[in-house]
Amino acid sequence: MKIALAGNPNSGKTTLFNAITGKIERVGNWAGVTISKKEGPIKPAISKSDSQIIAVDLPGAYSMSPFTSEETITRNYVKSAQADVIINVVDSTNLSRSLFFTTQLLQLGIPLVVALNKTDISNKRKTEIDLNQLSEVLGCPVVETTATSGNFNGLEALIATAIELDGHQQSAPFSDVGIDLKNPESVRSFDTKRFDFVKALVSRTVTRPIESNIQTFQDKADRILAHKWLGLPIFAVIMWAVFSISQTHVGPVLADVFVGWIDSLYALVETLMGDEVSPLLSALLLDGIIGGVGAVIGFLPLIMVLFFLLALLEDSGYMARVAVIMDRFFKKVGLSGKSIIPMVIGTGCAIPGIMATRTIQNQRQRRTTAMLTPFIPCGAKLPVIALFAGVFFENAAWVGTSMYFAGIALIIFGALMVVRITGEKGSRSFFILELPEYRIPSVKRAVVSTLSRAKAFVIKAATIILVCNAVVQIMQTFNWQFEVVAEGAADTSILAGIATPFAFILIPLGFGVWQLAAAAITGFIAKENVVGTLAVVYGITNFIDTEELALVSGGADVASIMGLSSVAALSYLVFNLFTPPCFAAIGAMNAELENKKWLWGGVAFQFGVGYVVAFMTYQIGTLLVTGLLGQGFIYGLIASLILVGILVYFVRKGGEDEEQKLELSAA
Amino acid sequence: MTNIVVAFTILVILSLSVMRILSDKRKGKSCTGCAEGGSCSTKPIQDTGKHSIDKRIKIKQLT
Repeated sequence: MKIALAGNPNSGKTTLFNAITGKIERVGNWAGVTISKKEGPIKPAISKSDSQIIAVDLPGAYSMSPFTSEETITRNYVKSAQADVIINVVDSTNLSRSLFFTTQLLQLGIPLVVALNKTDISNKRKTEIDLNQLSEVLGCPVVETTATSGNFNGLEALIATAIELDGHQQSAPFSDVGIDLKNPESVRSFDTKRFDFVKALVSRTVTRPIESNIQTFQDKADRILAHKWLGLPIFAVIMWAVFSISQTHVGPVLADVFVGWIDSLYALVETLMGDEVSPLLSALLLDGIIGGVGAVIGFLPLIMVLFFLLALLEDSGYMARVAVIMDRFFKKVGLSGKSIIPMVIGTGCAIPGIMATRTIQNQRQRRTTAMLTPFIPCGAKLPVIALFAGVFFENAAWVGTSMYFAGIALIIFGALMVVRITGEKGSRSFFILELPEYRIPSVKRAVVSTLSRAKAFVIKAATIILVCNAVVQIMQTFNWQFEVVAEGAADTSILAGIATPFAFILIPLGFGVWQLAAAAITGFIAKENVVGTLAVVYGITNFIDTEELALVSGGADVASIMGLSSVAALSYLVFNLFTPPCFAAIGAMNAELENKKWLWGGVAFQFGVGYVVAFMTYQIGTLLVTGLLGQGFIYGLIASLILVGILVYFVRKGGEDEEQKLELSAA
Repeated sequence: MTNIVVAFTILVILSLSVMRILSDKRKGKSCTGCAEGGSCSTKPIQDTGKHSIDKRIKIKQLT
């Protein structure tokens, strides 16, 4: 038996799905979080049934006439009668909007039960809903639920009702038989009639003591947090506070304890092996596997604190306001405020962020957003940020915050370039986003989300990162003749041989050594690899304990170990964050862009931007700090001018094409 | 003897890691240990209806 969960965006379908299946799918207090169909068996404790009942979580839809691709998924699924019963999740705080879709679902003839969700909020507002009358008019059962409640209010009753309905024929209170779908006037007329039906139903069944013209706390908060001028500085302060807590205060304290455990494991394995083990095997196990993976895992506490705080922010409803704040800026460069949602999702992982661009209707905006979303640092890049902020900038919170804002600035710049190149300067977009209620964020949901991400981080470290570190360790142990590299001759290793040509290109950026080039290359497999590879090539167990770093070079300072100044370290960080993302994310870009020109153009743009910004960071920074230009300035300048020249050529070509188009249309 | 034990341990660790990576790939997950429930896939998205939506928007603009 299959039960489909359908309803408007942000009505709580995924929260309900997680509650009844025990899964941990991503939820968020804004519309458009779910973009694909998800399935899972309902927990026997809730279904009270021996046979397996599958719940299907569908993306939110406002009506059966889809406007976005994820709405199409929902429409196609329910229309193809793949579900035995539909649970229509309805936001009880906004019945008039939600019931429009309900009346359309009822017409399908599939047994339907209405889950009147978020009843805790409507109760708090003293809104009274006459369930019996609502059920009678709709011709289907209505069950009150609170999916976010710890004791799953109403969920057992909801599932029991759904099971009972299996096999029943559903009637519809409103029918649009006779509608001429090819005639817009006919469609509009029937839609108006349906709205009138819903409006009349709501006025009969809902009693609301709070008038909509009374300014609530929500409205007052929005006047400040989503303010035209204050909104952005407030967002900057909030992000700074998030980084300050995670990177400077709470995170490092927890990380120190955690790294202590990794060190103990390292020492234990070292003792167990004794002196008889071959140095090659010992290096592979201790430095390659335990050291490399330990270096990445060492950042887990910092990342967990950061994800916890971001989850609290998301749950509070604030992120939807950020979309409104950014809309002003994005609209000016040809994007829409809706582009911010993939970017917010991209802070966790770029792939779902890129996939979330499907919610954007305009093709150029959708492609531009998919191409630019990887500029926002994802979770995999956080260990790299934490490493450089910790080692070179004393855990300063401004490092992480500035990387996010630099990412936003590059997105705005990139969007501006795309508009010029594609020649769609004149196109304007509108942005409608339903602002969710502010609410006190749930610590439980934030903990569940954080633990899920932590688990993913550990699994990734123990699989991809571990294998990569082992390969890196082997490649730096042997030379091209497959002989063990002599001590002090690491430059003759296979790894050095592969990375050195790339290191040459990176000299103008301030980090032209093969070790750093190798780490940047492995970062394209997974960005955490940058940290893991650095640990392996420099023989460092962990990066959290800066004292140990100092010991590695025999007492020299941290900068000399990597051969980096602080400015060069910042340049290296910028290069790793703003050059193309990992291969998996490039694959996601390929799938969403559906055009090779856009894909390769996007990847080339990311490379160009990463290179030029890192070059500028290093050269300008070095000039400011030392009064002299950095190494390889002339070569870097030539390379940067060529890259800028290519961009200017395409921008001009785009402008000419648009003029031609305008001339043709005028003719 | 100790060398054999250590080499075997390394082999087991690497095998387990590779097996997990391959198993996740077979399940269609883009990344091993995905925190997003593994619903992402680098394969081209089927039935998203993008083209029909673009067409619909164009028709709307024309009408």
